Amino acid sequence: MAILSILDRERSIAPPGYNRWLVPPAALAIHLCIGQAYAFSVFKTPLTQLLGIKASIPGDWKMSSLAWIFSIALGMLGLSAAMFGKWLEKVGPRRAMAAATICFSGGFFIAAIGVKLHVLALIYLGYGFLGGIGLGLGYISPVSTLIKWFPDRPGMATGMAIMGFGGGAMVGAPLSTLLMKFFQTQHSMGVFETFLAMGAIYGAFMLFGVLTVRIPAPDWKPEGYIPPAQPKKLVTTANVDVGKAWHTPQFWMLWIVLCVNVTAGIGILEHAAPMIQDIFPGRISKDAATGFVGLLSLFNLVGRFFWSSLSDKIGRKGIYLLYLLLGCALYAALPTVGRSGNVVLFVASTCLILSMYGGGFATIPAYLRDLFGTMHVSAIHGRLLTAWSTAAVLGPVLVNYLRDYRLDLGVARAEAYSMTLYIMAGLLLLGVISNALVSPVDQKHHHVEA
Amino acid sequence: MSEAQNRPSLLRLVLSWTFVGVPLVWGITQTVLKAWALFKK
Repeated sequence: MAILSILDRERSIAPPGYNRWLVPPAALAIHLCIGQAYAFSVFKTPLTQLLGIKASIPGDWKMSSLAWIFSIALGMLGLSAAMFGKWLEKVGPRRAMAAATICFSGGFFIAAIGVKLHVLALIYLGYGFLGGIGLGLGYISPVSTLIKWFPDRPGMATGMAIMGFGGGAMVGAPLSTLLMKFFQTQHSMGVFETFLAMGAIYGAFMLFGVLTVRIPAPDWKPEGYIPPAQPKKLVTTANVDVGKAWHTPQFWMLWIVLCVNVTAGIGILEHAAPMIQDIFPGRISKDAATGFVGLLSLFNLVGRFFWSSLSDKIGRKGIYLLYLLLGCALYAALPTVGRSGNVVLFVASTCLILSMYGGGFATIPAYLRDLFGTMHVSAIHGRLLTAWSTAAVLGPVLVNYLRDYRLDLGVARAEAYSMTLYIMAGLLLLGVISNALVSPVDQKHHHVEA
Repeated sequence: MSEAQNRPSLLRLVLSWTFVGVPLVWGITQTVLKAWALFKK
């Protein structure tokens, strides 16, 4: 169809003189929406009371069945990012962002039908499967575009976009709660209407990103920007094809670095509320524990921009060494901080850890660009995100199962997390070693221009 | 078309950032308000 030609790569090339600061809002529009996935838990309780309304009754969905929705979505995020990265490089960010919009927004509509008909499989299919594809496509779509627009500050550029993903939960959670309150009646939890409204709102918001994203002309560079004659040791001016990149040791070293950094962070984030209540028994109310989770999310967001921007100054290898070493020291110190009873120090330490967790996410595309060049960075980034999917399973499992195991052994609740935290510190040490082993990619892998 | 004509206006820049900035700031404010409970006695 002729109208769809607006999505063509050629149609999204910016005219001369285009202000590059118009591009980050397009990326943010996508990431702010898909980041809603981290706020899906606000729907969990209402979804278990769709029939009973005031409380769950026989026939209502179980919490354990609902947990699969988020798992499917995150699994599909990793898979679709890995599978469609190469396609995205070919068709350009606009078409890929449009596909992400259709999948993410359409996922809400299908899930709404699932709520109306009370068919859980439709929610798995809609929000989980289709929405998850939208997550993966949307996550990687703007990354290489921003790196191309900001060759002088790639860390800051990717930090800006990926910061939006962190902020998505902060918008998604209160928005969902507000909408459910608005649509709730004596006979309905308001979830059906909320899903429909969110599908429409997010669809429109993402469309703004689709229509405003621009890629620079191939010969474009920022005014006054002169690429360094002698690039830093790890920074290449060549490009490596995605098919070759993931056969290099550098790819797998970074995979390990991302996986351990995310495993450690997600383990705390996922279990933050009960953890702080267990470690400081009787001192942290339920509201305060919820506030703690919010604070961690805020530092996760700020860290994405702050640390990633800082990586432009001190280099990607250096910043990861900082994340991993400082993270290791903080994890190892947390049990002692807990025993000391100092809530403020505990909160400050975990906030710093979470800021570096976010920083790890946001800096990785720039690290990949340094090592493998700009040309295939989205596709390579997509494949690296399988480390995230792995960590999303590993982190919570480590925290939850080890806690239960220790409690079964009769360990006091306040001490139940010590072993997990020491294991996390050990994992980060493994990341330090992997990061130290990262070296420039062998020239034999470089892309040969036709 | 000259470069000057192509250059998007400052208004467009402000509108774009406001479009994404307002929900983000709203979300951050909601989070900070909730987090306040952590420091209340």
